[in-house]
Amino acid sequence: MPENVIKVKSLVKKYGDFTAVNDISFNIKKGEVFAFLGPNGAGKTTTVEMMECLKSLTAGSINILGYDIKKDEIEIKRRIGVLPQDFGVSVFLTVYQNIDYFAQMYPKHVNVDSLIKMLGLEDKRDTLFMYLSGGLKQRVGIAISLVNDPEIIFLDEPTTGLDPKARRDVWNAIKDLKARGKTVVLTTHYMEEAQNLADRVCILHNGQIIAEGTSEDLISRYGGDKMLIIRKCSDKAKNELIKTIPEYTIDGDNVLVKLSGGDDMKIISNAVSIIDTGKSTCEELYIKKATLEGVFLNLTGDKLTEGGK
Amino acid sequence: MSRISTDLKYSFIETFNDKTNIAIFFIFPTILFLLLGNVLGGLGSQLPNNTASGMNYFDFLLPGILAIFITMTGAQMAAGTIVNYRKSGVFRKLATTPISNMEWIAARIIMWTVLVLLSLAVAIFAAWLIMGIHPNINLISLLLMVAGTALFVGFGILVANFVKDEGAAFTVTMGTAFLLTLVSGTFIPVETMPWFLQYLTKISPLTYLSEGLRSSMITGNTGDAVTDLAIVAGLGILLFGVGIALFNWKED
Repeated sequence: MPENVIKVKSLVKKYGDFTAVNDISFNIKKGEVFAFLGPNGAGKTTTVEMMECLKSLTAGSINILGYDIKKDEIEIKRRIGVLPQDFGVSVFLTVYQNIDYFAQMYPKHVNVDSLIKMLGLEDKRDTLFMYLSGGLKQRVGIAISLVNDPEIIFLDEPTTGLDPKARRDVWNAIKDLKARGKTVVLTTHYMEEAQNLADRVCILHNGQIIAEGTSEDLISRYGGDKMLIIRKCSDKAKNELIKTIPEYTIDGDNVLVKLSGGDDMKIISNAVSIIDTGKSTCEELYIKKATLEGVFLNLTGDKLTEGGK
Repeated sequence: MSRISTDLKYSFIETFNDKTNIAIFFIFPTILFLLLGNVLGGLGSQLPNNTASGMNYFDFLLPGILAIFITMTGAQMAAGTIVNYRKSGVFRKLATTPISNMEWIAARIIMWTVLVLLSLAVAIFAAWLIMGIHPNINLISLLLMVAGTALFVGFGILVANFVKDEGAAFTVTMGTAFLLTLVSGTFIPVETMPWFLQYLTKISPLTYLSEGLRSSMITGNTGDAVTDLAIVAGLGILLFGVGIALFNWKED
C-alpha cells in the first residue's frame, strides 16, 4: 500500500472571527491525484495554500514528506511544486526565461528545454509571456511548478477561466504527471474535472470535509439513484409506459424513471419493448448516472457553481 | 548561479524587454534634464540673487535635478514594482520557492541603484554634450547617489506596504517627490525662500541629497558633503529598515 506523503491533522485557519478551515484531517498517498472539490469559499484554496507554505496555520499540523511545515518550510519548498491560483510571472520575459528564472531558485533543477518539450511549448520557447493564450500560460505555470522535479505538485484551480480545448490540454498534462508517478493535489470547482482526474476526492463545504473517497465510492454512497430518461414521447407512448413502469415522473413529453437497483434491467427492457412496437413513439432513451454534483447536492442542499471566480 | 544573481540577471532583461522603460530611464530624464536646465536656467539668470558661492545658476541647478531623478525613479521603481508583483501574483509564486523576500529585495536594490546611476550617467553625458557642463563626479558624489537611491527606494518599499495598486503608488511617490522638490532648495537657493519654507527644508531628506551633491560636485566643499552623506545614509538606513521590516510577500 502506498505511503502517506501528506498528513494533515486538525487543521484550522481563522481570519479574525471567521473560520475558513475548520478542524479538518486527511492523508494523501504517494502517486495519487487527490482533488479538493467544492464551491468558491468552501476552503479549498486556503487549505492548499497552508500546505504550499503560502499561509500560516491557526491550529493543527501539516506533515509533508516527513517534514513539519512549521519547522521545515524550506525543505518542503524544495520538494514540492506549486501552481498557485492567480499566479503571475514576468510578462516581459520569454517562456524559456521565466521557466529558467524559477529553475535557478532551487539548488537542484531539471533541464529547462526538456520541460518545455514535455509541456509542448517548443514553438513558444522564445515568445514573451504576455503574448501567450490562457491555456499556454497555464502550461507555462505547470512547467514552472515542475522545475525542481518535485515529488508533490499542487495545482490550485488550474483550468478556471480556460476554454474547453485549453482545459483538455491541462487535463492531459495532469494525467501525464500521474503517469510519471508524481503525487498531484488539485483544487477545482468543476465536478467533471475531479471525476476525470482524481483517484480520490475530498469535498469541502464551509471549511469542513463533508465526504472523502473515490468518485465511484462517493457517487454510490451519496449520489442518489440513476435515472432512466425517455424523451419526447407521444401521448400513446406515455400512457403505455406509465402502465408498466413503477416510480415514474412525467415532465412534459418526457418520462423519468428512478433506477434503484433490483429491477433496473426489467424496467429498461419494458420501456424499450413499448417503444419498439412502432406504434408508441419516443425520440430518445438514455440512463443518466449520478455524479459528484449530485453527491454535493445531496450532502449540502447546494449546487456546485460552475462559473468560478 | 545564486538566487540573487539570477534575480538580478532576469530583472535587467525584464526591464530592457519593456521598451517603455528605455524611455522612462534614459530618454525622459535626459529630456527633463535639458528642459529644466534651459527653462529654469534662463529664469534663474533673471533672478537678482541667482548665485551662491560663485556658482552660476545652472551649476546650482544640476545637483538638484540629479536629486529629483533619484527621488522620483528610486521611489517609483520600488513602489511600482512591488505593487505590480503583488497584484499580478508574482510574489504569490515566488513565495512557494526557496528564495526569501530578503534575497529578492537585495537583488532589486542593486538593480534599482544601477538603473538610477545609469540614467543619471546618460543625463549628465547629455548635459555635458549639449550644454558643456563639467560636474565633478567623485567618490562622495557617487556615494551620495547610492545612499539617496537607497533612501528613496526604502521610501518606495514603505509606500508599497500601504497602497493597493500602481496608480495609488504613482500618486503617492510622485506627489511626495513634487512636494519635496518645492521645499528642498532644489530650484531656488534656501536663503531666498520664505522663512516657513526654510524651516521645512531642514526636515526634507531631498535637501541633504541636493546640497550634498552640490557640495561634492560643484563647490568642492567636502566637509559639508560628508555631513550631508551621513544624514542621507542615516535616513536611508532608517527608511529602508522600516520598509523591509514591513515587507512581506506571504498573504496572511
